[in-house]
Amino acid sequence: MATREAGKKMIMLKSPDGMEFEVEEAVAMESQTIRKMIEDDCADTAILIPNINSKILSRVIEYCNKHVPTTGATGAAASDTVAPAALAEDLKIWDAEFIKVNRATRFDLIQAASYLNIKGLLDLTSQTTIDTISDNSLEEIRSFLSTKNDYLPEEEQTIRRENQWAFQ
Amino acid sequence: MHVASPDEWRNWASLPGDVLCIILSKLPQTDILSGAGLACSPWRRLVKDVPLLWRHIDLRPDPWDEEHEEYYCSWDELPLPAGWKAMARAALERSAGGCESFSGHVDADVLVYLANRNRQQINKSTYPDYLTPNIITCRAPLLRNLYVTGWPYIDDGKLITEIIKKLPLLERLVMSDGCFQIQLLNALLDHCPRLELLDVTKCWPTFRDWEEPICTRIQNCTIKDLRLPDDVLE
Repeated sequence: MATREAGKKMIMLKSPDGMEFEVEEAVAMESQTIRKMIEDDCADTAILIPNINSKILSRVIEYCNKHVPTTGATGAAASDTVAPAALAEDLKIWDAEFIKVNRATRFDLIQAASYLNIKGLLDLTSQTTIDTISDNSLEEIRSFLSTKNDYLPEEEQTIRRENQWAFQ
Repeated sequence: MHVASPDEWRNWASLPGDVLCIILSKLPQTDILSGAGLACSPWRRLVKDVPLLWRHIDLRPDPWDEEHEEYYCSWDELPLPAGWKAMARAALERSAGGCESFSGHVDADVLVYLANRNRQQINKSTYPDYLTPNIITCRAPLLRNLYVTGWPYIDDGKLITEIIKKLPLLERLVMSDGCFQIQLLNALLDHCPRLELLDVTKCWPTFRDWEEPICTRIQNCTIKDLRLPDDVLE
């Protein structure tokens, strides 16, 4: 954005790898964690977001930008002409495109959404994960999660005994 | 599914419990019981130790599931999945007394299991005062909704009363197929003052005509939405 729109408060988000992102306060406040910091006056003009690298943080900001309610001075005129249903449909299509990422990125987005407390993003990322693992066998799920079967042989025996239906 | 390359590797087992709960709560419970809930020890511990995941138990098979070769229009016509009974018991056990709705297949064993549990496992402080000690020995004393198939014919009318007596908060009972006995109706009217929906239209009634005094009882009952099989109405 070349110029800042008048009257909009901007805030700086910093990632631990040294990148800085200037965003509208309303966009940053899509995150309940950041909202709390701002409301409690814990936030200066810049907020360091620990544990979330610039690649992921920029995606998160992209998500918040899209999802911030368009009730601002310039946004109102545009959104008034669009029916809410059409707007929701548009968001859904956008979300589906947004979440076409590899598993590692999705994992990082889940962690970021959880830390920053962005319910919509957490719902989107976890639903996509569920869509991938539902209807798969136990072995396939383990392979997706890239978790080793971490049970001891005796434990595995107990699990098989207690959950026979899963191994039939 | 392919195996992740090292730089794609993430430790999914390490996700915080609350995030895992959000993810797993979106999964059908039959999938939790037979797949994701067994994947690794942190996930397994979580699904066993978080009763909230089992507050609304729904073990109905999915009519849209690709594995069914024939087309089924509703869940009560589907074949029962292997181990359905053990899964129902596991789900009820994990709800730790907090189950508010149960949807799925039942038989006499499952009903008795639902209505009884060991006294040692009970933490009285988690229940409201108006539940008497007798009622909290039920596995689902807070049950409000029951949507079931396969309700069996039960020889012992007292057994029906014993089961229904333990469900004082029941608000909705929908039985698709199964057996509808006069003893069941009596027990519901005696022990479930909050019952507002009773739908037994798809059941086999064990009686044909209304007999007194049940006829008068039914006319004066407080159930707002009562749907009985056609034969009985005639």
